[in-house]
Formats: sequence, structure tokens, C-alpha cells
Amino acid sequence: MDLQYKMDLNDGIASITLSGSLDATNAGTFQEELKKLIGQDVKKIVFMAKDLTYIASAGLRVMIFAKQRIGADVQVYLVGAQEAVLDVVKMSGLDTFMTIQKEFEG
Amino acid sequence: MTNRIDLHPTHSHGEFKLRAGKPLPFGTTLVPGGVNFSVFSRFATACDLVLFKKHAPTPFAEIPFPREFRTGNVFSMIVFDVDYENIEYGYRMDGPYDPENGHRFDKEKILLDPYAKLVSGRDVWGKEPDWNNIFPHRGQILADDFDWEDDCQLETPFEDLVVYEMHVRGFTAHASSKVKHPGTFAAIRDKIPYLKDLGINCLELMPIHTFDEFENSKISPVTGERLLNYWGYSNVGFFAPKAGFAATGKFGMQADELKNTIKTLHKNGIEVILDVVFNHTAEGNENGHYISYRGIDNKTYYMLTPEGYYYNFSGCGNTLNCNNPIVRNMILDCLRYWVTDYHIDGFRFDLAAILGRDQNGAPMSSPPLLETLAFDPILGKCKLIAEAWDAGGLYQVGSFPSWGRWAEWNGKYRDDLRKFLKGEPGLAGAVSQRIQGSPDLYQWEARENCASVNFITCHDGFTLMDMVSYDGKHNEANGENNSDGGNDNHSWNCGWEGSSEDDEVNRLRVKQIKNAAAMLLISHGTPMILAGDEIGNTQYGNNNAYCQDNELSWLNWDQLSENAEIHNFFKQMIALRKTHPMLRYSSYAQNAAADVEVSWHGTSAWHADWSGEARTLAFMCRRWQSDERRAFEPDLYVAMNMHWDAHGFELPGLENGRRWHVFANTDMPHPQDIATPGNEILLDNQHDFMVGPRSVVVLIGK
Amino acid sequence: MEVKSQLKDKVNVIQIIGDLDSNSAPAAEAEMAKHIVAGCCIVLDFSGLHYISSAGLRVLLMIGKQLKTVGGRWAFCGLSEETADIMEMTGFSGFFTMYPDLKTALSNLSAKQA
Repeated sequence: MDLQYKMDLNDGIASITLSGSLDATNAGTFQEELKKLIGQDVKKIVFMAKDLTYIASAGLRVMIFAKQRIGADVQVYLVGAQEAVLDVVKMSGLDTFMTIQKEFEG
Repeated sequence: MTNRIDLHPTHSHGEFKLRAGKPLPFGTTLVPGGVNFSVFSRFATACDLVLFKKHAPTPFAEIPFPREFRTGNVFSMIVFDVDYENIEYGYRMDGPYDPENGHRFDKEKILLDPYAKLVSGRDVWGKEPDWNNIFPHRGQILADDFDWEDDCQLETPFEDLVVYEMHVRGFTAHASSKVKHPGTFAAIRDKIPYLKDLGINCLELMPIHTFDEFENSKISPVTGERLLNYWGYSNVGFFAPKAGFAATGKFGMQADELKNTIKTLHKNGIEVILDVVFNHTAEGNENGHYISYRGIDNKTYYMLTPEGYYYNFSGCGNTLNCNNPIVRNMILDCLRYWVTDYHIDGFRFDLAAILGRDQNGAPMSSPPLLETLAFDPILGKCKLIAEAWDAGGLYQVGSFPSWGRWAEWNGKYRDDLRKFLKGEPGLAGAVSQRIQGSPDLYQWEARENCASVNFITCHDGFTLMDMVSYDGKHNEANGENNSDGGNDNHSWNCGWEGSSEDDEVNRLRVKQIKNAAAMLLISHGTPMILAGDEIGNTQYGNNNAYCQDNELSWLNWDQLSENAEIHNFFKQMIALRKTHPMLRYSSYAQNAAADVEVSWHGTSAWHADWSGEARTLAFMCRRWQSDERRAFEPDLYVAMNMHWDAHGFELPGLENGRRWHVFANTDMPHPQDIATPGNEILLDNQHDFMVGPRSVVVLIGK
Repeated sequence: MEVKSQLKDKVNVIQIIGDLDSNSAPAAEAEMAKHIVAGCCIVLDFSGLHYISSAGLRVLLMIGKQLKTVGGRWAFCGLSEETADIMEMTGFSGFFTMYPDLKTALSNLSAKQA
């Protein structure tokens, strides 16, 4: 299934709602979308992942890239991720640099 | 993949953003947003990267490698946002100073990266350096994305090559060369029409790796001039072309200029072989100075005596530890780099016997370095040529380990041909072997490829003109009381030592030069000509011009018109060689599978004089009776009379109504001395030929 | 380094002033890239160039290749003898057409356009 995403920026919080699968075929365009945040006043990036069914290595790289490029002091949240997605994130060690929550608590 | 996630700074040092680098490749690599630095040292305890602004006397930054930037024995780091063209870099290594155990670390020294691809410090040839520079030879970072378009190695068969050995500077430094940028890579391009017209299809460049022309420089007691290390057999950096050989060296563009020169040479069908000097470095012995290796890992890079002194098999103070696995890999990396990044067609290894010595200096039967190079996939189509001896007394002409890949500079060819040329008796047997590609030396290995690089002269020794003008060497200008340079020159001055006004002496000299050219170019194997020999270049009897950066060794192009007949003779002999495939066969005549029937003759046909008094020899080449090419390839006959009297040579008979035609007769004055291929002159007398004193005759049977 | 551009006879004349090296190359590239559109016509005027490095030449080559893909045309003018020599010796000149001055470059490009 294709990736669908929606991005909102409010009060320094970039909220990105994802659904479908994030893999090598769509990671590039998604990354371009994220680049729009560079230079803006972003303090938190929140990936709303309730409907994200699958994430591949290329997708994980985009998330890391987001943190590296948008700013080192940006906090990244992964919210409501399904078990399959959460497993991938944990196994690749990414859980140490993003905050994982069931519901966004801020 | 558009963006890597491992190219983001994790560390900082002052204004610099850093990250752990990649250990491989060694040296510097441009990565997105930064430069990857990587350097090996087994025994160093700490390492700093030292950065200079271009040409600045003192560094503007020293960045220590944190522990997490070291993998095994390799320090590597990425430095972000560096203005890579405008910095110079080096390393500071800490570690034990303990010469008895081989260690000479000195934290005070800033060291050149052994893998530096550009080296600044001697950017303009001969420009006196600042002797107080704390870091005289500095690494620079190279953008290696030269646009080669469709260029590739030419892969000309070895036996088809006509090699021209040249000193890049000496070739065009003389004002008579009439080039815009004398003495440079770019100037070689200007001379391509000349080289093509002569028939050259391969340049062998004397060392072009970074060296220091001011190493051991001194004032000549004879001329009062400063003597430089002109030849450059003393390496500072193996991966970097000598900036002073490039017209653009002062702008740091020597790599582009050299690549463009090679690309243009390739377009014109001319290969490039590099003379590489892996036997020692410019750091000298215990009393030498720090440039790189001795401060980075002395014990790895050099062969040391049990007491920690430097072995000196090179005659130059130290010996590179070629069969240490690290050094072996460095040499391999280096050669691969020159092949992939510079499209080099082959290498000639200076004092290559050293490359077969083990870490204690003992010769090995199957040296791993030589074997590695013979079988390396990237070097797979490269010519590998050994100077099969060293200064430590190891002489391996004919026995250099080859695996069917290594060819040799055939020193025996030079010596036997010279003796024969000057009229020594009893050489017919030896010369017959040399002319056939020296099967006595190489046939035992049944090499498929041409093994013998034939030469009568090379940079080391007399020029051809001097070989026929001097009985002894005249090296006074070198400032060593004429004690340097070889004494076994097998030369003969034709009756007067040095330049002569006597027409008879001069005529004989020109004839002897033509005799040598004829023999060289009809010999099986790969002929090599010393640049300038085709125009009668002289070094005034100096047979070791290593320090003579002046008119003594530079080619004087005015001689091209003065010695036009010598030039024409070389040119037509090369043309003859190219016209007749029989002169370029790749296997050995006495093998059953060989292409060509070679028969030996003397003053009587079919009876060569092999006696101890013989000064005459003749031979005929034709295809075997079973070979269909026998019907359409002409036969060749060469008579060589090195006696001071004329001798009648009975000619072997020809088949199928063919008749003998004269191509060359060195006894005749120009222009009767040589024809052009295809325009040979029919002989009236098909049975005998009177060969003049000290003369060579080449006949074509067609 | 400074980059100035102006339109003359439907030709974009871009003047590069100062040093074009690894330090200034990215800015120069970005500035030149703005003018690359289908069928564009550009003259690079180097009469104010002080020094060009290897990285500078590489930027020119990259711009040249981008121009080629969009069917643009360009020419160089005002190169000092030394700079022209450097380009010739390092193999970059083969990719460009050079004219002695802006006037000649413009008349040649306009002639082709017409």
C-alpha cells in the first residue's frame, strides 16, 4: 500500500500523520517533504503512526535524517505505532533517540 | 541513496565539526559535506590531524583523534565544512623514540600522509624553498573526478611497443624545444606530432612521483651551478605527481594536467609507462630527516638491522620494507591508484630485485609482493617491467620471478650488443641470443609474453652519441671527482675522446649509431630508445647525469636538423619493424610453436662463425614452411659486420622467384643509407653482398 | 568572488569577478544555475576573474553539462592568457568555446540564434 502523509506545523510542533507503508519507493519524496521544515522554528517532530503498517530501512533513515538536518535539539516522537513498526524501530536501535508514546503527551 | 545518515557531525573540536571516519580508503576522500582523513600507524599511541591554510607558516588547527576514531591501527575522521582546496594537512604522531627497537616517533614533527594525492612545497621546479618551513612537503586534497570520457588503457601488445624513455623536464626544458611551457607535462602534448612521426607508441617516464629536487643539493665545483636531484629517484610521495613537472603546479592542478596529457597521448595511440621507485624513500638513513614514514611507523616502513639501523640495499640510505604486509598493500594501492585514476599502461620498477627481498634482506624464491602484482585483477593488463637487479649485489636478469607477467630490462642485451658494436671478438653466440629475444635467459619459463625489454642505452649511462664518442666517463661536473657512475660502459670513442672536428671520426660515429639502431629495432623483444638518441643528443661524456638540471642533460632540439640523417634512420627502422610482423613475434623462436624460422649465417650462407674470433654475424627470418603467411610476408636478412675490414657475405637463396632488395646499408652515405619500407632497392648481385667495415645491412626478400 | 548577471541581446551575460575556487564555487554554481532553462543562451565573462582553481573548473564543467541536457548554449570570453592556458593544459578547454571579448562572444551567439 502506498504512503499517505499529512504535515502540520503549530507552535513549533511539526505533526506528521502517516498511513500505509514507508519504504525505499517513497522515502525520497517523503524526505523532500520533511526538508520543508529546515530553517523553520521546529522544536518537536511528531510522527503519528497509528495507520503506518510497515516501515523499511529507508524509512528509518528518513526519520534520522529529519533529526540530523532539522536540528540537533529537536525532539522526535513516534506516537501510536503498531507493534510491527515498533519492533523494527526497537531492533534497529532507533528507540534511543526518539520518544515512543501511545498517545501524544507533549 | 540520496542522503546518508552517517554524514552528520557527532563531535566537535573548536570550530570544527567531526565524526568518526572510514578507515578505508587510506588518505583523504571527499565525502558529502566534508573530508575523510585516514592514516595507519601500528605503534603510534596518539595522532593529531594538523591543518594549515595554504602556504601558511604555522597550522591553524590541530585536531586530536579521539579513541573512538581509531579502528585497529587506523586513525580516521571526517572533518566537515573544510575549504578543501585551500588547506594543507599533515599528522603529528606520538609514540616511543627507541631506535634500537625500530621506533623513531617524534611529536615535534609534522608528517606527510603516505597516501597524499597532492603534495605542495615544491610547486615550481627549482624555486628555492623556505628552509625554515616546519612542514616542507604538505598533503593537499584532490577532487578526483577528472572527466576521462571514453579513454582507457591501450593494451598494445608488448611486442608491438616501441618504448621511448624520457625525463619529463629534460625532454623540453631546452629553449630549442620551442614549447610554451618548457619542461612540463603539458609540453609533452606539444611534442606528440614529433613522437608519432618518429613511430613511438609508448613513453616510459622517469620518476614523476613527488620528489624533492633540493634533496642533497650542492654547488658544482666545476661549473659553480647548484646541482639538483634532477632524475628524482627518491620518493617523497608515491601517490602524488610531481607538481614542479606541471605548468599548473603552482595552482595545485598537476593531477589534472597529467591526466589530460595521458588522455591526449592515448588518443594518439601512445601508452604511458611510469618508472616507479619503491626500493627506498627520500628520508635517508639514521642521519636523514623526517618527511613521513619514519615518523609514522618507522618499524613498518623500513628494513632495519637487528640494532635498528637502516639496511641500504638501494645505495640511497634506506630500504623500503616491501614485503611487510602493510607496505606491500601500500604499493599495491598505489599502483592500482595510478591505473584507475591516471589510466597508466604499465610500470617499470627501479631496482626491482629489492622487491623480492624478505624483511631481513634475504632474497626470496617466491616473493609475495611480486606475486601479488603479477596476479592483481586491476593491474591485469598492465605492463610490469623489472630492473632486475639492486645495489646490494642481487642480479636477476633472466631469473627474476615472473609468473609469466613480469618483463625485464635486459641488461645483458645492452652489454653484449655494446661489446659486439665496438668490435670485440667472440660475441656471435651471445648476440644471436639477444637478437632472438634472449631465449637463453627466458625460454626456460616458456613465457607467453614478451619478457625482454631490449635497450642499448637508457637514462643511466652514456647516451648513444656519447657511447661512440667517449672511452671513459667524464662526470667531473657532478662534484664527486669522477668517482660516481658506472665504469663498465663498453664504449668506444671511434678514435678521439669527445667532440671531434675530424670528418672520418664523425662519419664513423654516425655509422655506429645507425648500426646500434638497426640491431635494436630488428631484435625480438620490446625495443627501448633513450629520448634524444634519435637526434644524437650528447651529455658530453657524463654517464650519470642525475644532478645535471641544465643543458648537459636536456635534449637539444637543434640537433634534429644537424643530425637529420640519424633521425631519419631511426624513423625508418621503426617503420620497418611495424611493417614486418615477423620482427614482433611474442614467443621464442626455438619453441615448436614459434612463429618464425630464424636461421644463422656468416660470410658463407648457412654457416655462421661462432668462433672466438668472430666479428660477423647474419641471420634470416621467414615464416615456417607450414605457415601460410610464408607466401605473402617478405623474408628478411640482416648482415652485421663489426670488423674494421669489409667482408663479402654469401646470401641465402630465396624461394618462389623472390629477390633480395636493400632496405638499409649503414656504410652508405645519407640518403642511400636507408629506404622507406616498400621502396627497397633491387640488388643486381643476388648471391653476394659486400658489407663495409663496421656496417649493418638489412635486406628484404620479395 | 562576485557574480553579476545582465541580459544583453537576449543573452544572459554572467560576469565572474575575483577568485573561483572551492570556497566560492558553490555560490557561483547556484547563481549560474538560476539561468539554466530550456534553450537558454549564456556568456560567461571572465574579464574580472583573478584566479580559477580546479574546483572552479569543475563547476563550469558541471554547469556546461546541465546546459547541454536542456539544450542551452554558452560561450566564454575575457579569459586571461594564463587562465586559457590552464584550461587547455588540464583538459577543460575542450568542453567550452572561448572568445577574446564580450562583443565577439555576443555576435557569435546572436548569429547562431538568428
